[in-house]
Amino acid sequence: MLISLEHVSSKYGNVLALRDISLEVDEGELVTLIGANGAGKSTTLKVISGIMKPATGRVVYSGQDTVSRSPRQLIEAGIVHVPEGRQVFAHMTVLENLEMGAFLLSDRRLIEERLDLVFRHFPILKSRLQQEAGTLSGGEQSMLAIGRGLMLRPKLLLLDEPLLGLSPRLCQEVLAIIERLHEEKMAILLVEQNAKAALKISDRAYVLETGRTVTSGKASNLLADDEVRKAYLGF
Amino acid sequence: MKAIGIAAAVLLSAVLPFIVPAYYLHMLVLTGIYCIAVTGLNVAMGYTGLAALCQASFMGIAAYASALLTLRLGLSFWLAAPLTVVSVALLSALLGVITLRLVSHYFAVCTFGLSEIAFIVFNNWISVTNGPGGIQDVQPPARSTTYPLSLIDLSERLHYYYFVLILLVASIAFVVWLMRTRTGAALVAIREDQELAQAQGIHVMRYKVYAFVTSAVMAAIAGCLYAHYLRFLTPEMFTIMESLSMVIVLLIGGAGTIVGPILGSAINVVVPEILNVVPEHRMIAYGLFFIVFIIFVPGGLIGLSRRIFGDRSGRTAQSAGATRAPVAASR
Repeated sequence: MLISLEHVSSKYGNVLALRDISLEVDEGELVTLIGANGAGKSTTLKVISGIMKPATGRVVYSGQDTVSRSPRQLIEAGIVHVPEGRQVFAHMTVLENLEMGAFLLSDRRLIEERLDLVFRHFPILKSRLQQEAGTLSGGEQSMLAIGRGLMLRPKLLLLDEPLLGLSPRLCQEVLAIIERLHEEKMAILLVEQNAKAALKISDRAYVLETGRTVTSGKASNLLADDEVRKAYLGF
Repeated sequence: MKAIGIAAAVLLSAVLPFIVPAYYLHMLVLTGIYCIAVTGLNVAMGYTGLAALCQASFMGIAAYASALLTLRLGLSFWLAAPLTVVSVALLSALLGVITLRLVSHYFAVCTFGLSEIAFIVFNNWISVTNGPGGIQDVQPPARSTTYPLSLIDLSERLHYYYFVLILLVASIAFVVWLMRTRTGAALVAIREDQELAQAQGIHVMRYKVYAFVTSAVMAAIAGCLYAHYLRFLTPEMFTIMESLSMVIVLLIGGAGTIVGPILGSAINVVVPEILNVVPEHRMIAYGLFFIVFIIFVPGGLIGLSRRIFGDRSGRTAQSAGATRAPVAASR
């Protein structure tokens, strides 16, 4: 098991954001978290990447407890988080954004190699290198955010709503890239409101409700489950 | 092109005392000192996005410390000033570690408080600071054979001007260098989006403290220069209003740019002089300026000139180069 959360709870001040989260992601697995707004999906990712600390419970990554490790140490260990929101440094160029993703690398040759790797996945970025990231289209920004995440070649990629605000065509494009990363054996934990689209490409999924994991299973089973569909997928 | 501009600016500052009437030399020295402090503030506020409202306090602490070390303990300026700068660096590191846990306006309010505390100490610790009476008879840096830098006679105003100029150029050069390093990139990333910066593995707290200390160190250098130039100190010189006007000066010049602090400081000294403004009215003018700039010229004068002349890059040669695709094409 690459990462597992065991009965994790977490708070923002006094507000309990996670009550009891247990989940696992195996090497090379693509797992999706679904659930309503405020169910704790983003918070779960923050706990995994070390930005937030769990109040109780354990997070075990590659057999080691991560609680005492800083976000930076976790990134060095291979966990890269692409947070939700605007996702790019808007006033930096595309190239500067990508270089930011490689902040922990100092070997120039390695950085060039990784840039090439990112351009293989996202050829569009190569033609936009000197453009300010904030002036990219929504889809390009989303690709840039994922591309930046790839600069460190993570073992576990945490993606928080990469499809937010994208047109259906761009959604397909970004989903295809996520699938391709999955085929390259990268473990991915995906948080997505567009649950149907996410489930279609995922191996497994967890359903979160008010800070708890309530259901889990193979993505295809959840997609076929009438109850889950009505309650969480809305179709 | 850029190199020519820099050379011209340095050359101009070097010959300026011989161009302007003798009376203005005094203003030039003060502008230079002020500019060092604002250049420091630019690191914390302009590049890192920390709303530090206590720059004048660090300047004041240094001014008092350096003055008292020379007057009470009889230390040479050449020993007292470096000692002061190091002490302020340590103090700011300590304060930074505590207060930088707060974000945005909470941090601003906290530094506002620090600023008030510093003033109360200057004003009320009478046995040390002589309270509202201030400190008289601070001596200019003395000539001495012990310290290599001290061979010129700094009681001469013109010499002091060059002394300030050298330190100003050094401060600006440091910031230029800093912003080209990884550290500089990290500072800008933190300003842009703290959480995102953290997600790239940037140790946000460490870099914020670094920026805060750098900023305070420059304030301290300015403070030492100030004390031994004016030769007297009063608490009123280092109130919260002074810290706020540094912020406004930075915003007017253009925060997060190299030229911004220079432009702002120059305007800060020259405009009131030309308009013959009473000091009390300065804050009213600043208030108005501030509102106008925040609404209409968010990038400061530098941002304005870029908008007019169309240079949006403002960074180094590499980003000004080749493949800047037209924005419209990506839509």
